[in-house]
Amino acid sequence: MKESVRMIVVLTVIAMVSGFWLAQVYHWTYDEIQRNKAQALAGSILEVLPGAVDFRVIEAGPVGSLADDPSSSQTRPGGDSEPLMLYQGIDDSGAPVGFAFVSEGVGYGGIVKIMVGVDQASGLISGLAVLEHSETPNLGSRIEEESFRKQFVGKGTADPIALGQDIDKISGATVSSRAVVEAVNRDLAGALEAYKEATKQ
Amino acid sequence: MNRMIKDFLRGLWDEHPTFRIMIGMCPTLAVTTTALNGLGMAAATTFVLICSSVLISMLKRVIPAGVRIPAYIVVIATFVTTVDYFMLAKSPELHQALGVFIPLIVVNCIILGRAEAYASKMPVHFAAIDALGMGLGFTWALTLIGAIRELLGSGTVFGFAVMPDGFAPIKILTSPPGAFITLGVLLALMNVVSDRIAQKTKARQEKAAS
Repeated sequence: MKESVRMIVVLTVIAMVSGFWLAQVYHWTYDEIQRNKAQALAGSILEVLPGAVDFRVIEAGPVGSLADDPSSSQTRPGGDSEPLMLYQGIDDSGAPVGFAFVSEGVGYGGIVKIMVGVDQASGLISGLAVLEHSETPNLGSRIEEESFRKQFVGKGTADPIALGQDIDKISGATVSSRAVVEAVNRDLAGALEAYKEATKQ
Repeated sequence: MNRMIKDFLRGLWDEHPTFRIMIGMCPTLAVTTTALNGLGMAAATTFVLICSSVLISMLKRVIPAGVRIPAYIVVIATFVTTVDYFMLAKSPELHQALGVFIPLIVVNCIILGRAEAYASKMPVHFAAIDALGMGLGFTWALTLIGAIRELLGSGTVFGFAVMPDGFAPIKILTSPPGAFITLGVLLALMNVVSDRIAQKTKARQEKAAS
């Protein structure tokens, strides 16, 4: 009896100290991690919008295409309740070159987060960047590669982008490839609509 | 003092974690695509190994035998998460490159193995020196494997182009089978060198005896 009480007490104390310590570490590193994330986001916005040197944030409400789905009429699927953020790219003369938005798909190892850039004039995809993923290294992680991402450039909303027809999937990484395609298809039409709406005035 | 030097050197060669005991194979094979990834992974592992060995050695009289493994895992996981956060803050590129293998340091056999086999029985300074030796042994192994794979697979070392212009990269070395091939060749080389050393010592001893 005494021994089992000691086990419980020791393990509890160790776990509590560990919890306090990690809360402290989280606190110490929080600002810097957020800054890094913001920097990475800014970098990828400029990457998917050729010609852009700066960007402006446009906050759009719940997107039209998502309103069809009652479970996600107020919030974006995937759990985050943030409204769709549009990032309008601006070239060196101050003219808009297009916009970018973040979308998500479910991959093999978790959520795949991507940034999609859309050209101002044509409304077609001008670039795609992978922000976050937990796909298998050297297999699913190849969705990051230029050769896969550039396939999306010039594709648009006229018909949904189909894996295998419009986009060659990465061999051995069908699920990861599909996650990117799904992420693009999910929000592209809605984002385009929201962007047109927001920039009408 | 002699004992400590011996403990330190043990991890670097005689009981080398990667080439002798053959533990910690998952990161050894998975993240050594470049020298920098290998070094970063090994440095993170070494840090966790030293911290957890010292702490476990300090707590050896406090932790009851019945819950020692969960207690070790909590200690190790705490240090791993600490490394994870700091790496995310200080070097997001390296964090991105090592990906899921950083959290997986928790289940690295070298750390739990040294905790169970050594740190939990020895005084703090011995545990620390043993962890340092094992960590550095792991570090030279992963850096070397990474450097070889990067050199032959991409023609660079630590990101610097070192191969002549006409060099055609051997792509397979950057993919998972390349890790097995590199590890196998290095193991063979290490065995040859060890045999030579053993033969020489034996010959010298026989000479001295006669």
